[in-house]
Amino acid sequence: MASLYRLTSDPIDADEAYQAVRDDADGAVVVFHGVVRNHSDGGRATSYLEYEAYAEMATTGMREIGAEIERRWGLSGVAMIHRTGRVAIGETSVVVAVASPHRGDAFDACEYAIDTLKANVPIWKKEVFEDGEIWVGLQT
Amino acid sequence: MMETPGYHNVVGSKTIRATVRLFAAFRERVGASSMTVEVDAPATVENIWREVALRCPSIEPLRPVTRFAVDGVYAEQGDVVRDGAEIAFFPPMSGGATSSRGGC
Repeated sequence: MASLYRLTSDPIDADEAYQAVRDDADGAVVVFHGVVRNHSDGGRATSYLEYEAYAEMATTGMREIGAEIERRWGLSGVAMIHRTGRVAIGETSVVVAVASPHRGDAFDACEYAIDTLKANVPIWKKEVFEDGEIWVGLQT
Repeated sequence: MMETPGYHNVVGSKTIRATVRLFAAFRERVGASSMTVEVDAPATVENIWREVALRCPSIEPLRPVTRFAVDGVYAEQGDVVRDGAEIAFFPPMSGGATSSRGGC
C-alpha cells in the first residue's frame, strides 16, 4: 500500500490512483470520482468549473487526511488527486481511492477523505454560467 | 541603514515584512495572487488584513467570510505574525462532513 497526493491541471488517471493504493493484502479498493455536473445547486445551467488551490497547503492537508485514515482505520493505501484550472462538464475533478482488506473500512475511510477534503483543504471552485460566475461558498 | 553601536535608528520602531497570498475572490478583487506588505511590529494577522484592505478596499466586504493561514497553517486574526511570514487570505471552501452532501 502506498499513498499518492497530487494536484494536477491534466485529466486525472483514476487507474493510477487505484494501482497506487492497492496491494495483494487488499480485498477492497474504493475509488471515488467527483465529476463536474451540468447544473448548480440552484438549478442554473453550468458551463464549466474552475478550481484554484493553495498548493503547498493543499498537499499538506491531503497528507494529514491520509495520516488520520491510518490512525483511525490502520490503512495506508490512500490516493487523492485533484484538478486545478478549468474542468469541463462530465470530467472528473477529484479522485479519492482507499484500499483495505475489507470493504467496510474502505467505504468509511473514502467517505471521510472526500468530506474532509471539501471542508478543510484549501481548494476553491468557481462555477461559470453562461451569464455569470460565482465562487462556491461565497454566495449569500 | 547601518547602526553604530550605542546609537539607535532614527526611525525607531521595528517593522515586519510579510508575503500575502491571495486566492479566489481575493485574487480577483486585488488583481494579484500575492503581495508584500510591511507593518509595524508587533503585528497580528488582523494588522496584515488592515494593511491590504487599506490598499484594496474591495476586499473589505469579504471580511466576514475570510479564513487566514500563516505559513500554511490555519490561523486566527489575533495570531502573531513574524517577519518573513507568509499569510494567506481565502474564502471558505464549500461542502464538508457537516453540511449537505448534495455538493460534489
